[in-house]
Amino acid sequence: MFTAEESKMLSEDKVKNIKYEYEELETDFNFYMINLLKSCLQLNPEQFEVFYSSDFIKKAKVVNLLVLHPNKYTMKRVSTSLLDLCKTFRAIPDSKQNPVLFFAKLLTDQLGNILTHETLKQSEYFNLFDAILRLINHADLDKISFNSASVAEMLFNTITSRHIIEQDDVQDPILSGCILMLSTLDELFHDSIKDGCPGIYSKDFLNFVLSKGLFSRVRPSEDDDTISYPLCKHFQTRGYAFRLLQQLFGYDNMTDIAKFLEPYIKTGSWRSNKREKWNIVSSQLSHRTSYVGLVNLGCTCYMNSLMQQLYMCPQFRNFICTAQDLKKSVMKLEDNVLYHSKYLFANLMKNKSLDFNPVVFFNSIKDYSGEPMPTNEQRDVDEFLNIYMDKIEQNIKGGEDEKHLSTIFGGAFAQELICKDCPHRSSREEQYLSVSLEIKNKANIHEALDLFIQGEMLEGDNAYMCERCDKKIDTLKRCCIKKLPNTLILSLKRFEFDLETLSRYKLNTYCEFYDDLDMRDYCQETLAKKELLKTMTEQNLTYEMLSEDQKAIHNINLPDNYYKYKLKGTVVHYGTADGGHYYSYIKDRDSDKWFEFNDTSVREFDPAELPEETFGGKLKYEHKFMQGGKQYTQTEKLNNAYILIYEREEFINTEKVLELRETEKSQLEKMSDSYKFESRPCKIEPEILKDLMLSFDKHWIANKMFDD
Amino acid sequence: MDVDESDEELYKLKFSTLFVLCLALRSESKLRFASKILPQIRENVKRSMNFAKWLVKCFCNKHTINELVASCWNTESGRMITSLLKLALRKVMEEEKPEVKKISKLIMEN
Repeated sequence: MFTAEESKMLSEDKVKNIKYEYEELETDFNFYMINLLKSCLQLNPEQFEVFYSSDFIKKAKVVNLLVLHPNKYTMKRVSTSLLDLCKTFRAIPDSKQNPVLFFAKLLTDQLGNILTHETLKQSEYFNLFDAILRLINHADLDKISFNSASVAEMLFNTITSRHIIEQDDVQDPILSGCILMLSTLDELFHDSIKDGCPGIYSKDFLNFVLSKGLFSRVRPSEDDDTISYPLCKHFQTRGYAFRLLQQLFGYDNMTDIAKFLEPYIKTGSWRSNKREKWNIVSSQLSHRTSYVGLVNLGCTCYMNSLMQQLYMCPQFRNFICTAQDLKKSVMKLEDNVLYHSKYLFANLMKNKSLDFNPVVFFNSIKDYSGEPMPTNEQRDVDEFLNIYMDKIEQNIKGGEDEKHLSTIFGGAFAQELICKDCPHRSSREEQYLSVSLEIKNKANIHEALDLFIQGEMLEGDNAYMCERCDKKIDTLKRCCIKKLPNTLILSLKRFEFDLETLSRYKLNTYCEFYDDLDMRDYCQETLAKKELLKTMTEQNLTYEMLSEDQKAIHNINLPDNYYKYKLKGTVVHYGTADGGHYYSYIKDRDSDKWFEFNDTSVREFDPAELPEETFGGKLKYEHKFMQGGKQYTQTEKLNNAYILIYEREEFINTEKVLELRETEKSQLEKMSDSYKFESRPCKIEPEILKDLMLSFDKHWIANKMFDD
Repeated sequence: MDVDESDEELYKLKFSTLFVLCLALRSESKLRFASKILPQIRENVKRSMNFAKWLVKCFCNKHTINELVASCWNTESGRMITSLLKLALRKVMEEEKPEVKKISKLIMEN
């Protein structure tokens, strides 16, 4: 340990020589340096002047440290340390050495700069300024020429001319700091401010605080759907604003405040007889993930999980929002699925609530018999997808949009008949929305896809009558893929019917799927080419010896990106064939992050857990005996993937690609611009947007009336 | 001492009551605040006949009864509402007592 003399020398030396370059200082270093400085000054208080004359203070680097440092914890610790320094030495009588007066002056001098720089993080500056003002002895204020009225006027002007920045979860540090400081100044220097800056106590400012600061939801312009008053939306800023309102206007202006608030309370949407409206907890309005959940209406998780998948596909979302509704004039609005899809998607996009109730959307969808679907009946998600797409197609049939939708989801199977003893083959096209794969005893989707294209031999009595050869010939009957859509939906057949027990059961068997999927081997042209090459090898045929049809097959080339897919989501079923629950894992196309959408709950999901959560199979339990030893038991996992959503990395115009199928491969890659997918910009219909904004305003006001 | 029954003061009282009954009592976090402001409102009910009459008149409306009494799911809030109403009824009763006495006497005589 140092002796007192040595400590004194050391502290003098430190204060004289430490050069603070905040840019080079690390988080902890800053903090410990200020603490060290405090200890040094404690031992040697007359060194304050040396400290004040250092570059660190003179060039206001300490203020920069409070508003510019990238680490908010550093700023917090610096502010705390400086305040601690002020508290420790607040009793120093010499005004030149007193740190409270010194920092009050320094922070006041910097106020103009701080208020004009939007990019700074001013919270800690204002917190420190506020705390230091409370430490000041009023009698000493003249010594630093502190003019509370002019500071208050500066803050007042900033507040009243402030543009709207705040969101529920985004704080405007300048606005919140100004409000905090203004109420502190009023508390400490009420009389001098009332004389020097009477505008603060005017009715105009009261109206401003109420209508623009705290309550009214008014948009600066009708076109702007993102920005709206009030200025104060963040809970902390609102807290400061309520304090300011109470302090400046209080009981004397209560009649005006009451007249302003009365209509809100009288028409409050919470004044219903619902049980939950008697226990309102002021809560955050939106999910931390910024996504909106969907309310389960009974057993409608199948719809929620699928609609979230469809919404998260940007091309489909944009398509729905911009699709031209050709049946709008002839269809009842309550039955118009396209209109309600637009409304649902607009809500999922713009709603600031935690969740949205899709009851109107759900009621618009009637099943194949035209009956509304009961909310308490669990449906198959794949079946619902077909019903939903049917309804959407009804509204766009005959228009340009029909083609656009089929480019996103519409694929085609080829139902083929390939004669074995003659070169003839016939093919029939069949449209599909999803590919159903048998997964019984299949370890992964490649095995399931292999089985899908395997087909069956028609031979013997069952042989096919070839019309061109006019005789019965052994024939391979198979289904393969003729056209691949941009969004490929694979449905894993997990629900089977047991003829012995005459009941449905669920297959919980293990079936792997992968992030990347190459569909080349399951397409008609690849299979045909493979078979042709095999025949050419077996029969020693050259290209010239091939028929025109065979040459056409030989020449087919499609770009690689036509076949390559990436996993973008999966719908999971948890439970048995008799009952269960659907939810979705979805990859955000922009951020590449995965999310779990489980009705009203939306949370981030680690894709590394996908195999555990979605592949199915068995769950192993380990039992440890008290006497020692272990025993393992296995049960089937009830949660497994039911629908897989794959998408091309970049959407392409499939029809154009197929038209270019006989182009040389090298040429094809160069022509990629000619078969680009024309994505639509997303635009919510003005009528829907207006309706939406009105309901958001109502909801926002209702929620904010319960601010703490 | 009677309460200041100027229009402005009565308006402030009515707004405070509206705020407590229709908003504060529905919020978990504001219930504590309501329990602080309610004693002041009760005090005013005791001291102002006009205010008490206004409160009783509010509860003569079927919508108010439905909203604040019949559909009140929160026991604590319900207790606060009914105790305030009882107090207002008692206050109004003070003024109406002679009339009620007369009516009951008439009934007995006939």
